[in-house]
Amino acid sequence: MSAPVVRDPGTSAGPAGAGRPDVALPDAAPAALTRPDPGLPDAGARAPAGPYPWDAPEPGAALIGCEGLGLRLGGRPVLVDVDLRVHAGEVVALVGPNGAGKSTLLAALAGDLDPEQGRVLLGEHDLRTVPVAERARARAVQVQEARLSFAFRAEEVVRMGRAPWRGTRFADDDDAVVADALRTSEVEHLAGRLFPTLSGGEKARTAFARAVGQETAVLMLDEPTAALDIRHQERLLAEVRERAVAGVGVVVVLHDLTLAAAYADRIVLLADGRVRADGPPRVVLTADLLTEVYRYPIAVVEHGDSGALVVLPLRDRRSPQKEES
Amino acid sequence: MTAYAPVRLARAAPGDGDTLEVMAPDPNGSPVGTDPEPGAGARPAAEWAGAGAASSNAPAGRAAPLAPSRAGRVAVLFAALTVALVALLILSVGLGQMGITPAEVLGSILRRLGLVVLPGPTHPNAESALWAVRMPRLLLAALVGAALATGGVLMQGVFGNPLAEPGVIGVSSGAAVGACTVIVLGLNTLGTWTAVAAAFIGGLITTAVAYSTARQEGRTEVVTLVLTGVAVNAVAGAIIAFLTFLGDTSAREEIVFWQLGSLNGTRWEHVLVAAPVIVLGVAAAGLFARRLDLLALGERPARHLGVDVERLRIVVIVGVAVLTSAAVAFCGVIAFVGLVVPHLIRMLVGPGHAALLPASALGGAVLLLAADLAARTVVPYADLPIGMLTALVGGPFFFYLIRRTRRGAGGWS
Repeated sequence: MSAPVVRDPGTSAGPAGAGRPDVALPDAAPAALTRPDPGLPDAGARAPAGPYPWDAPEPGAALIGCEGLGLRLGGRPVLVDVDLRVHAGEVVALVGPNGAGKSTLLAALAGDLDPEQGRVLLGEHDLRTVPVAERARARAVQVQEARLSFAFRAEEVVRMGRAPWRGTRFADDDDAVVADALRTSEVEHLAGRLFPTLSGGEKARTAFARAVGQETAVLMLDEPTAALDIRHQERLLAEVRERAVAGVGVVVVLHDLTLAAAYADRIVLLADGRVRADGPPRVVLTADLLTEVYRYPIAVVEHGDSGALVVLPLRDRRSPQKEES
Repeated sequence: MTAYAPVRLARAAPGDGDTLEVMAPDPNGSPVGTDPEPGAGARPAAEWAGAGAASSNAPAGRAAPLAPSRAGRVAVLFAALTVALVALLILSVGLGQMGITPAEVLGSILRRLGLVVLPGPTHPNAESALWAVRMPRLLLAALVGAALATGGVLMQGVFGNPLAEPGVIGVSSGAAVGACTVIVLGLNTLGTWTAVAAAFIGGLITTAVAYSTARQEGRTEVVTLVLTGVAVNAVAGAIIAFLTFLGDTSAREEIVFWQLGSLNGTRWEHVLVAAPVIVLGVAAAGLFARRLDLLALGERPARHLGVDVERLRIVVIVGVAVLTSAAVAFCGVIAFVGLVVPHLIRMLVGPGHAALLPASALGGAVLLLAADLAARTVVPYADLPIGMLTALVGGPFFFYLIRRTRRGAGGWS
């Protein structure tokens, strides 16, 4: 298999590299992003006339982030002085050991938890000043566990992702967008099934379809691949990448570091509620750092043909095997 | 203000240069780009993307599956419920100790409307039995049934559990405490409205207490729900017992009436007080249908989709309290209507609240009319307490639902 992601190595160096799509945000807040066309030099060739913000692109405008974020849960500091920015067109993977604060950070960025110190930003606005309904047009969130109190059908669940656009003219496209989301998540054949009867992986894919169907400039995904098989892990993250190429900013919590290395532009390694490292995969994913943070011997190797990074826990074969004696 | 517009990949874009506008009147408004060359450029790993889904353009306006069959079912259900409601009203008003044929009933109704087409009732007392005794009673039965069923749907939606119900959770008992207090203390400050207002306060307090204690992360486990009901009902029962102890003989009789639940002795003034409250409550509930749908995902996901969850739950809790107390104030505790009706409706048309709420209101009216008919006619010359009847049927049904919920990995459809 060749490296799944077509990427210019240079682009992962900065928040958003030179090859990043033309993205644009009035007041640096999420707004319409255009379909990129990497083949075209710049947005000048775009059809719509008039001064659109992306005609003078500020490549990789900051979409969401936090400054000096501090949070306690149950008296215990869960996040300490976290700074993070997610820019248009980049995929940021949050990784780290259990209890490092990944999901808490995502929840804070999503506005579910109010920061005790620092602030969360949506564009340049303090998130708390943005009404809930507008947040829903700026960012979509897939939470870790997809649950449903009532037996809606999978297709109805995906359609719920269109709720923020209700009453706008974009609602006219609901059917097409829902169909597209169902297809790209490969849950088309489950559309008529009752959601509670789906398997864990099917639920997760349906929840992902709902999130992408929301068509927001920011995607926030909490372990979207946890319940998925290899094909669907790769397909889901390839879809995420494709959205990023279109200008979407993505924050994704991942446990699989090899996946993170393959699909993320930037990896943010959290440990004990602090950002331990923040940078391109090759900078963050080093054997020494991972071994220390995960408290387990870990090697990072490069796959021969593809050059892909593989993160490999080193298993001591002698101690656990007793059958041979 | 910032304008937001959807971010769309070209494969899903409507195309045709149909430039989309943003919602806010932002001069820098950003249309969604529609790329003239869909699918051009970087399509990562397209060669192994198997199903080819990623490379096919979505036909715009592709119709969603499923919609027609469900819409048809909804229409049939509404028609059936409406017919059943009208038929039951006409049949039920004629049945009882004094038999009046449906034709005579129709004749009498038309006569009241100024049309002398059909002959009225022949019996001399029939006219007054019809209009002074049975009509208000049946109308109240229908109204209370609609209120209880709607209250059940609202409660299930906000508790995130299809087993929540005002009677089960103890809200009806709480409302009964309010009403009993008025009886025992002989309060009359608001006239006929006094009992309703007191029941409302009692119902509101119990709903708020149950809601704040029983939920966890936006949903309620069945065990927690049932145990909360046990606790709330125990406390409310104790207070009612104390009030019974305090009250004089006539107050005690009235309190017994509350606890049994009965429509006996309904007067027009009761209907006139209950009707506006219930009709408004049921209609207002419909405004929250879509938000309740989203709440089924959980509180966090609902908020992510733009629902002001805090406001929604306050509004819904007040709504539950209003509907339940309006019902309880006039006919005591009638349990399980709010459980059985929404459950049956969900089995027929699914859990979407846009159909579920009005269908449940209609279904609740039909069910309580039928129950009242049974209460009046099953035992000759006796008026059984209707609350006893609904509990007799609803209790085992509740038990069956609990068993099924535990057994099935599937939904509580």
